[in-house]
Amino acid sequence: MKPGHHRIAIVGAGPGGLSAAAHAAQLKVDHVLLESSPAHAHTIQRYQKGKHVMAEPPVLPLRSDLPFAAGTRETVLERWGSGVESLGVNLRYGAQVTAIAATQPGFRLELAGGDTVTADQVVFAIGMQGNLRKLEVPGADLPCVQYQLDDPEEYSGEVIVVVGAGDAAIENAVALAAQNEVVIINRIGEFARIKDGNLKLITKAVESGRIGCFYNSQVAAVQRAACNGPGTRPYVLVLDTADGQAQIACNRIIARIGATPPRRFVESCGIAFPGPDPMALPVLTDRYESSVSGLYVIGALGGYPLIKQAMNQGYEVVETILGREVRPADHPLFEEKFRALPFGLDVDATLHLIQQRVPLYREINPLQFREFMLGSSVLRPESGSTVFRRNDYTDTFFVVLEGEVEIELGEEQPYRLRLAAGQFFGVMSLLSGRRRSATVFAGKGCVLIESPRREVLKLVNSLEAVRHHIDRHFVVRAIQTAFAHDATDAELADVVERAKVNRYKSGTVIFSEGDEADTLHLIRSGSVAVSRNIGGRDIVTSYVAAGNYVGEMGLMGKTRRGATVRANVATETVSLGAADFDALLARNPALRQKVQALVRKRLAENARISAQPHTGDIVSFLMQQGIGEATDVLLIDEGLCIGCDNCERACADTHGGTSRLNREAGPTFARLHVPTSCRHCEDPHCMTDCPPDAIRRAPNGEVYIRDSCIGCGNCEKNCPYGVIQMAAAAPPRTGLLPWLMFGMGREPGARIEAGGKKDSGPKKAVKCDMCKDLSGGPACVRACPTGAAIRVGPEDLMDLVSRASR
Amino acid sequence: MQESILSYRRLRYLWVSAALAAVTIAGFALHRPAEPANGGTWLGYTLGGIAAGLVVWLAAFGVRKRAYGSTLGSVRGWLSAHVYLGLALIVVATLHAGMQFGWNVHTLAYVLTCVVVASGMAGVWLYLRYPEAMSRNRAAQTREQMRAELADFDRLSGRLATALGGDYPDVIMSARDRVALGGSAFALLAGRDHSLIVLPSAGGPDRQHPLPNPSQSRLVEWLGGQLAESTQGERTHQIHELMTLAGARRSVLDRMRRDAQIRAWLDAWLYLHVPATFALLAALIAHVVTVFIYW
Amino acid sequence: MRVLIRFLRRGQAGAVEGKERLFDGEVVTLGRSTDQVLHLKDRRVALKHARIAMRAGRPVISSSAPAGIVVNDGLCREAPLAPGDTIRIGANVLRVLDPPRDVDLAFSFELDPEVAAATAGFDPKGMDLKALGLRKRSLSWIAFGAVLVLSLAIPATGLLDQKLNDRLRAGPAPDDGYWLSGPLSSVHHNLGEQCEACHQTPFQRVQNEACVDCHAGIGRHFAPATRVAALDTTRCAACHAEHNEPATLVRRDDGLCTDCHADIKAVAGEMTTTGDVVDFHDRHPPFDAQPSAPESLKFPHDTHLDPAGIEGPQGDVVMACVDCHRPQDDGLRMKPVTMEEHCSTCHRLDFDPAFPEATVPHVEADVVLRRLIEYYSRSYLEDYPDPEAKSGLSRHAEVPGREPGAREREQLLRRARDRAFTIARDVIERRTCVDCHEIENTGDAANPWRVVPAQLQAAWFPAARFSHARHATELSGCDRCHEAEDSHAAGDVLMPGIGACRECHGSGDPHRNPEGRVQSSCTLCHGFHDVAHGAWAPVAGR
Repeated sequence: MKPGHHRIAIVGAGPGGLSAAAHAAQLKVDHVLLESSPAHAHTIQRYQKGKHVMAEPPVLPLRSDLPFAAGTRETVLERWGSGVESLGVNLRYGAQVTAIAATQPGFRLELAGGDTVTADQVVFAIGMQGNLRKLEVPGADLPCVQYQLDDPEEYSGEVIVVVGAGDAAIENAVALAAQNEVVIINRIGEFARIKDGNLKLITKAVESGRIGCFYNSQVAAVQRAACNGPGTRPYVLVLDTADGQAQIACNRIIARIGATPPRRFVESCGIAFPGPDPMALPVLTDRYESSVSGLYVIGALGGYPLIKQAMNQGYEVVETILGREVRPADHPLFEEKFRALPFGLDVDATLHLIQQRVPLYREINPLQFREFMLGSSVLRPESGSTVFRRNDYTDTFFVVLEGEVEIELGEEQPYRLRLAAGQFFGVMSLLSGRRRSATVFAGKGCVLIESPRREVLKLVNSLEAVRHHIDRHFVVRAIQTAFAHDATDAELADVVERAKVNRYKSGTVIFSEGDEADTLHLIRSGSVAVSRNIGGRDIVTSYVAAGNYVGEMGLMGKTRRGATVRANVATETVSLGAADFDALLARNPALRQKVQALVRKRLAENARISAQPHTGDIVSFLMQQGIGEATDVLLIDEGLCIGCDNCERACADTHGGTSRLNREAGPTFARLHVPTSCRHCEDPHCMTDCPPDAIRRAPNGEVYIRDSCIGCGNCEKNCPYGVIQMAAAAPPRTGLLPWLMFGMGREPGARIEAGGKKDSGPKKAVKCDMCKDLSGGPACVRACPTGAAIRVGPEDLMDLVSRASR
Repeated sequence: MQESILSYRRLRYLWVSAALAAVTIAGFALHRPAEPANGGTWLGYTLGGIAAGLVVWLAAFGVRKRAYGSTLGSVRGWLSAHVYLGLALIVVATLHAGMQFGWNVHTLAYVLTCVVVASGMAGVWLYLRYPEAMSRNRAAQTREQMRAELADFDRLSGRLATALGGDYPDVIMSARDRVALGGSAFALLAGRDHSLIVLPSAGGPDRQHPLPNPSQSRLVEWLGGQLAESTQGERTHQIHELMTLAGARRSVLDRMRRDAQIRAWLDAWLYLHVPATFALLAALIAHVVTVFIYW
Repeated sequence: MRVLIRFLRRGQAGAVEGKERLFDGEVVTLGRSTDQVLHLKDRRVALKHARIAMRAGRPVISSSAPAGIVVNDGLCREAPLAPGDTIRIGANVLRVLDPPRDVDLAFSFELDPEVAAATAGFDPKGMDLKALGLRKRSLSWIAFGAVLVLSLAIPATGLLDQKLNDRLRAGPAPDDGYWLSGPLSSVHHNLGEQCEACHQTPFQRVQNEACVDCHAGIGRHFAPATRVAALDTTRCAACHAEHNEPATLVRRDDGLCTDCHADIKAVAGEMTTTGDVVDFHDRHPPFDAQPSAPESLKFPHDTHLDPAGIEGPQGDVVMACVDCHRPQDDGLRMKPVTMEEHCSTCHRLDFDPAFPEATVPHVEADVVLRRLIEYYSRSYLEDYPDPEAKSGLSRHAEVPGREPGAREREQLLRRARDRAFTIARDVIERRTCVDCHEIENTGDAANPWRVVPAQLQAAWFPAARFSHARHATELSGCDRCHEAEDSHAAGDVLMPGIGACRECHGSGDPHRNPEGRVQSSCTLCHGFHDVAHGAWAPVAGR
């Protein structure tokens, strides 16, 4: 056999690659594992020190020759290292594959530095990180230049330059700024294409001067400092800035200038993608084989971001290559799931069948769908039983696989819709994140597939087809709910075609007083504030939550807009043209009265509030505090609060020693104080980016964090109200009486002084869970001696306001 | 706009204690003891039992308040009841004593009861009066923020002063170093400003004595003087800066002092209420035991 | 030593201006307080931070503050100074210079503007009471302990040892006087501070023995034969409450009696005959005074009290009650009425109209008869006072001065005796005795009469407490209560009925006492302890 030729070449020593190589080694199959970085599992190596690595999804059994269980980054890496050792994996570090060419037979892999490797089959396990870009300037090889940051607390009192303006760079910079003087170098004039959380962080840090920032600047060179002495910095970074050169004396330079995105590279190997969507995944068979035969893609790149999945795939792909029949590790799970089904088909067939039956799912690639289904579950509810009730806080998404369901819409005169097999429901909550707008009853012999909101949203965001489907459906359902109960989809078809889905950023005006009244907006998510100009001041007269509509007044009277409507928070609306609206009204005279009644009600409300403009001020103040998207918020009546901090202590004492609220912080207006504590938003920002999907919404609406939190801190950054904090488990609480009587032990709920933070185990995100596990309601409110602390939801907000304005 | 502890649940506990007091008084009025009414009659023992029970229960509020896990009513309800039943206690205790007082442990217990209740009433008054003032004074700033703000002003004025040179660094630093905030219970509660400042004097640097500088007035004065003398435009500007800074410092200092004062008051009464309660418990034990030692 | 200090100040352009000062003294003190020789700035400096003094001819700086001092960038507590050394204390910089002639030490002094400007975030201490080290917990325990020790623990030690107790009471130390629940009633003041006199065992109620120790021989409530469990086990203190001003030591309320007597049968069963008493005003048995035997004396009050007067030896006499009835000195009962004192002036006991001066004593009938026999025998034998005496005698019997012979004497005596009987019958049966007394005939011929003795009831209810004196002063006269004018027979009970009392006397219960009545509890008339029943024997109390 030729030197440098292997049966299997595995690119990337991530979880997938390692597992594959390990299995090959186990089976004594000739293989090579090519890793560009000098260490295995490079991504995990770059995790923050001591970070807790999860083994999600827990249900999935591990199938690999390498051990893996949830634990700290160190232990995981250490065990893999020793595993690789003992199995004798042929691992080449610093071997960066620059190109792969299909040679008949097999492949030729070009390595950086001209070396080549040939192999019969190639397994791609390079993940989504791609290859780190390096500084290409003189002096880039100096020891002060590094491309990763293990532990920000390692350094203190240094001057550190962070190059790059991506999420990684910003996270490092902010973390380092705690103990060091940090300068961040941004190639362009602003921070773009980063998470909102990070954007907030960095802009705040730069404005407050905690972090210095060079915009429109590029690194020209790195040099050793000319003179060395106490107080002076050992290195100098030379910058090309918009206005000439600049020099920064520093101790170290951390370059976070991103990575060459894998897709380009992967495509260069001839692997096809379904579309231009950057999120799209390569086309793969259910055996992970790409459009190029003999070239396999596993792990994140193949759409499996979780470690365990990748490891299983590594194992499976080797089995496949060796021509063995292998069933994916999740096979038994699916068998379990599908046992309930009446089809008597095997797993793959069933999955296929489902995709066929449900138009919504047809375009999804089989692997992605498989993963999607892993998260979903199959239900066979009793005929006539309720699937969910109106005003539940559940937000799962259902498709009807067999039989039919009945949806009961409307409050005063409820009426029912039938859904046949292949159709889906639960869209309203899915999109608005609000309570269920209808009650659903199972029909005869109906089989449902229930999928968690987050999984569905993933689909919606990654597949245009799915999104369009859902949007359209939503419009239909919204119109039906609001105006045309009896109308069938067909009847509404053209109205729906003309209807538009609009997305507004927080604070943008949807329409303003005096405009031509030409459209009606059904609020699909978020909420809007209605304000009128009274005596030259914009006074908020009311706020309208998702599921309702605005703009009907103008349309009814065929007049100009009587008020300005602004999005309180990121809001989505469905807009109907005036003509269509009239058409709908024409269909149903009763409806006209209903709408007119609503108009009258709102007019009355306006009159009342304009009478006491103070109320308007309070409303707008609360809106600024994000009450607009809150489902339940803690307010403090400053007229009663004596600042005893019992609320905080109660919270801390009942929640592992860390208070989830900060009484003192937060703004105050007209006796109303909004402390820093969770609003339990309708569409929680914190949920948007939670790797282990640990943030959930309880049926009663509490947004809480499950133990599966990995402490990544995304939610902390994403929360616009700063109510989530990273906290380590506090020392166990001590008895009350011993403390009270003799000062023995700790005061219940007292703040734990910082300091013990390093050794007190991994930090996890903590936030208000509204004491959902405690009988008797929120501890903060129960512990308030003067009754200053209150919790309000949107429904009782307005009357609170009118009380407050008295 | 929330109902206060007094109006809690439409005065529920006011009615409860009123009823208790009424029943007690009625009982006392109708009671026809063989000897003059005192703790020794059956009614006396009954009232005594009730009063003792009340005292213990009222004292237990301190525990309940911190038993955050407890779902036994809301602390607010407890406090409301605590306040009203505390008042009722006076009635019960007085009638239990049958207005017989003397220099003995029994009357001691009674007096302590009165002290505790009185201090409690003071506390209620403070609780009703101060919160609004506090939040107004704090202007939606946290103490942390106020401190940071002050530190900022200090730093800035320090910079300016050193830039100006001459006497400025000394004066500014002395004003900064000799700010008086809190320090003693009296200072806190009185809320008077005992800040000092050392101004340059003919006597030379070693013949200086600190002068009172209430809410930085003397500093501002001095700066004003300098401003008047200053001729160079740039310097004048800087001195002016310094002056505005001094003004800002003054306001934040005053707010911190006021805040501290209010919080001190909200806390101070407890330093009588709680120890008095403990003394009362001791006296109660002594009272009960001795009554039965010499039965 | 002589020290030259050069004060440097850097202006904007880095220009240095300086003043000099020459110090003459033993020690150069450096610190933030103004009394220091070198008065340093910056909060980081202690009030008295360091001192420079000559040691073995060399200036030595030593830190008097825990923070220490930085000499040539090295932190130390003490260092000798040589020209060129730099000393940093907070923002203050001292540079030691070459001393000019006859100066031991010279240094420049300036502020490091950088350090001065860079102040750590100002964090005032003691911004709340807690931060001032005030602790409610410790205060509370102190208060708790103090009260408990002073009012309970120390006095309680006295219970263990009597001597100790006395010492406590003697000295200013807290003693069990603190426990006094009320002043001791005046009668017990002799006991002074000795609680144990009555409270003999702690935690045990005062026992009756304790009382009887002093009050020996206090009367029982009823005869020893009677045993009433309820009463036997009653503690003295149940009725005699101490330490309870303004109460008197004795219970005065009706409950004292009515507790039992309201339904006495329930308590005493058949051992008593008294009726139930609830309250003098409405439920109290009537005064059913019954003479033990029918009255034999013939004394009509009405005729004696006849306002027209009654016939007496010297004509008619108008009599009043007080002529016979006088209260005793204690004012309670009346002195006894006697024949000699009150009746004899009118009712004279002469027997022989021939000799009206001769009277018989006010004695039993047989004695009267004997006296008459003696009387007549003597008179017949000595000088025949009676012409009848000699009728029918022998002639020489009439010889004057001659002694009668034996036969004669015998005759005389028989005659005298017959005479005496005749007179006696006349006095006893017909004229004198029988006026007031009843006469019985004894079958005995030698002494045929007996006078039935008069009853003369002294007091109807001997145990009751009633003061005639007080009532007499308050009321007009006897007739207010006693209806003597219309009483014919001495046997009439002239004691007034309960109604008469109730005219003035009401209930013992102030709340039930009718308007205008004297509140009258049982103890007003009745006593509890009655020596008549013998001395109270201590009964083991509970």
